[in-house]
Amino acid sequence: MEAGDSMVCRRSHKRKLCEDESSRFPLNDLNHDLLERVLSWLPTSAFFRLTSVCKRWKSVADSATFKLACSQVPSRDPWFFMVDSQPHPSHQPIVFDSTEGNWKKLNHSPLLQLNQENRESCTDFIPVAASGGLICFHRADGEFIVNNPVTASCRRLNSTSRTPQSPIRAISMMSKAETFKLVLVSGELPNLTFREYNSTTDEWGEDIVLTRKADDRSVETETSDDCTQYFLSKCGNLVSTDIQRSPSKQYSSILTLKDGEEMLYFLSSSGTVVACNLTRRFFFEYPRLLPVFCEYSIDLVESGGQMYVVLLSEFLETASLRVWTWDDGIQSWRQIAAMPPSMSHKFYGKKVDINCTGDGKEMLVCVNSGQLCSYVMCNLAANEWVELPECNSNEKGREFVCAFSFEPRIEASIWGRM
Amino acid sequence: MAPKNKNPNGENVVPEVQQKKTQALILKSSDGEEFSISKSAAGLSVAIKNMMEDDCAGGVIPLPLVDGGTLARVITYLNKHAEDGASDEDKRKFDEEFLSGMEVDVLCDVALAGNYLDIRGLFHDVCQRIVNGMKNKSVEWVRKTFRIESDFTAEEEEQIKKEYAWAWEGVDSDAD
Repeated sequence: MEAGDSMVCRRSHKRKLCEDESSRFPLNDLNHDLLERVLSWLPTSAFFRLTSVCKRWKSVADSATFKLACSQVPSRDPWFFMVDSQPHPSHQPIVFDSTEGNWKKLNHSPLLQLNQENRESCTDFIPVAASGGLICFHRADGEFIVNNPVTASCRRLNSTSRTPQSPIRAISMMSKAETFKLVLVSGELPNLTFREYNSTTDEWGEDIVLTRKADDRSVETETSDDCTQYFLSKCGNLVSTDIQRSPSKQYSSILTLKDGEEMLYFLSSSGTVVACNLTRRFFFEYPRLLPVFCEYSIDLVESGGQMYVVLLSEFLETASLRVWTWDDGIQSWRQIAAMPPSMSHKFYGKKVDINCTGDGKEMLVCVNSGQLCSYVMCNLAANEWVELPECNSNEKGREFVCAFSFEPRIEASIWGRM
Repeated sequence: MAPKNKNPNGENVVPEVQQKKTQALILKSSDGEEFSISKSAAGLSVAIKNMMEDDCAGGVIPLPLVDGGTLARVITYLNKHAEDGASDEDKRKFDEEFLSGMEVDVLCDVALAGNYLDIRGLFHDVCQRIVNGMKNKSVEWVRKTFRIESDFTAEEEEQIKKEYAWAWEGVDSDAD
């Protein structure tokens, strides 16, 4: 410890200007730029708590250079923006903070602000997509709102010049450092088109036709028209009436970059995974995971730029929840994770619906039926499954049917720029 | 802590430095201490690398913003990360141990040096170590530990708490 001791001596010598050595605060030695860069590593909740330490720390929150430092933190633990099974205008949004492992009720409604400005009902807006630090809300008439749940900032997007004539199949958002875009896929298979919204110009592009990939053999052998009969899809022509569906999941899709090409995946109404290559403007369907006579609930999730299929199925008097990925090498689905049977068994016979969201390492599965409601977080790489604690919201019976995963980033700008 | 020894020339050397065939370089701290370091290790600092490339150094590079104790620590880090055959796992373990023994004011000195010398990995690790120490702590604990006087009035503080009430949810306000 010699070096340490001698350093202390040197330090007190060097800092003899400090009148009272005991009042020395180590972070005061950091200049403002460095203080900002250190604080940018704080998890978001902790940062906001610690803005009440002193005025200097509070001033950091509004600093443009602090936001720049935050944008250089490569990733943040996700928050899950929960979607109520029975939305109510007086409900404040609830998120699950995966850093602190607890529920948080945001004390600002993202839509309230806009509501006040525009003097119209915003309760018809439902969350439909999320990316980076932003959540996108949609209303049936084609309006879109983008919101940063952490800062409560909200922006209405330029309306589509004309709403697509055919029904919307999928809505996806992708945000990069300083811009974001929305992608809308519409039409009936096999006649699909897509259009993009660009945050920089605040404009929507033209409809672009997606053609079916010519060598798409897998589909011909698998597709059959009467296969929807037992399928418990949230986006399908559904069969069973006691399955809960959320309108928020109606347009659920994921958007990734694969080998420099933009891929959008969504579930068709018959339960197949449709992959759209937006860059090369074609689409194809993956082969089914399970034979059509099985009852199951399915959803797609993204993790680390990969598309995964999450599937809850019932076999031999038990339920299993498995995660699959498409392996190009073997041209087949490959299982990469499975919920421990002891956890999934309780879903057997409950006709549950699963809704998933994920981004980065963690995935959240919302399991719902008339009888139960459970939220399970999974680390896909480690195959670790943890059931979340009960939501301690004081509104009774508040249950969530699905969630949107986002990164709590105070620098995420609804204007698509810093 | 990196104990320092003198080599026969009277220069400070950090033990366990690999005796590399690459030429050595002298780094001079703000308080005049000189340290010998291999060029490959020194090159992990973008700032030193630039100085070597500009050849404005003439063999001795003065670092007027880094004191000897801090520089010794930084050199220990650089040597480990330049070591042949050290796996990423080795380095990760080393980083963990290297930082875990440091008090917060030492961490701040190393953060300053890491930033000044542009050693990105070190700077990020140190920042994370500093915030890890305070992320689960109450505002009071942070003030006490870092010896910060609040310059807010009670009303102002209450206002912040109200504005970001969610940030306090699920947190014991006096938790330390």
